[in-house]
Amino acid sequence: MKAEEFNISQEDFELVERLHQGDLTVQERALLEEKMKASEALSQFAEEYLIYIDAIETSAFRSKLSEIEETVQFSQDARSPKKSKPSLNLIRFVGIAAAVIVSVCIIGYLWNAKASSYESIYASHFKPDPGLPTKMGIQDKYSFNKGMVSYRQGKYKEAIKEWTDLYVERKDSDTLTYFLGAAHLADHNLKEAKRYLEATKSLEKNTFQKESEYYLGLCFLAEGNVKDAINVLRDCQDGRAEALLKEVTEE
Amino acid sequence: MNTLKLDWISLIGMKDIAGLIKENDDETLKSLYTDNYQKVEHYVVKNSGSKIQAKDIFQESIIVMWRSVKKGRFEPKTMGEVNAYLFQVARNKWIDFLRSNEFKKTDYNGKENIESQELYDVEMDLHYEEQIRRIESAFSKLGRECQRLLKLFYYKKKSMKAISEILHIDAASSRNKKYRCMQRLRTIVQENNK
Repeated sequence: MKAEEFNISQEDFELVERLHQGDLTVQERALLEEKMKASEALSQFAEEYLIYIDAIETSAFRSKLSEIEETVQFSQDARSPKKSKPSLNLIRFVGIAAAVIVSVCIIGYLWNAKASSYESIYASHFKPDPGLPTKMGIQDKYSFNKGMVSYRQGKYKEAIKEWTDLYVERKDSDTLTYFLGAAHLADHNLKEAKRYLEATKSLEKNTFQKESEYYLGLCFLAEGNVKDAINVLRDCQDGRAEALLKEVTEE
Repeated sequence: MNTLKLDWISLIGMKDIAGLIKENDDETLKSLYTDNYQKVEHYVVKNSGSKIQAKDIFQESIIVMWRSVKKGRFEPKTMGEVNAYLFQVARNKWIDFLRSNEFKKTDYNGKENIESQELYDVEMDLHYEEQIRRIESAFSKLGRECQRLLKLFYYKKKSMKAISEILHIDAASSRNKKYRCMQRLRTIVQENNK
């Protein structure tokens, strides 16, 4: 089907939408049926409309599930240390240890001044991207999914190996480029992480814009390059960027 | 003195559970997740699986349950029915995965065969599932604004008026934008199919 034949007008689009909502008058329905007879594109769209809506909803549903998964995981992690009640001796020991650690930290802070404070901000904020859910049995995405399984198990080197081979042919893929950056960062290869995250940012179609900017900001921070970190984070739409930026600028 | 505790589970037990699932109610989804995930993970891990595989199986199973409710093929009356259905789907999906891969030689009894067949009846047919995946893949390539608008309208069921307030644009612009976003989505699907 040619492009001009494939496109449908806004009026026709809305008629199809209202047809599925059961919101058409008898006259409007007759008009739409006439139009569908004359246009293959419109007829096809009317047929596929519900599949499109189902797919959009499924995509949103998956995002919501991942969000819940992260929240539940986080609250489980937060709860787990409270399982056993520490003894008095342990509290005393922890207290002394904490005092020693705090003293060492203060000395360390005075020693290394600003640079190390930015690195510690990086360390306190950095949490690897949790990755994407993998669906078993999809042959055309086998390599990517295989890498994602390794990535989600924390085997970053294996994921990088799998994805680097794939990257040779798929430099246009925002998902692949972004996760290569994320894997390198999680594996502490700052230089490579920056390379892929910057490549993600420059892609025309990039669904990982905010994530790539946030992690790029963290890369700069880990290097002590505060100026570039601030520049990237200031434009970043990721919810985590604001808190990080605030912490950096208050230093 | 006995205290009457009305937590979310008790409350949704009194409401129309199928209706809440159809409305994509966030709290209901969260309850479903927290009530069932550990059980599914335990089952998968106990049966030669990993935690990562358990997560994937759980996510795919909850989608099957959600779609079945939306299409009216499964009409639960209680949260207990939903939980039982969800576990059954996950269990059969895992058995199916074991059979189709490295565990092909494992012997399963006839009862499980029948249940597995029954559950496949309520799942999407393969062609439909493939179409959904193609559109989902195209949707992930849409711009963020388009994704947001379409999710607000089709998933969150927000009115165009509410969407225009959220996006700080007038109602006519929201309508135009929704049309353009859908056109863009269709174009990406078509390009990917070439």
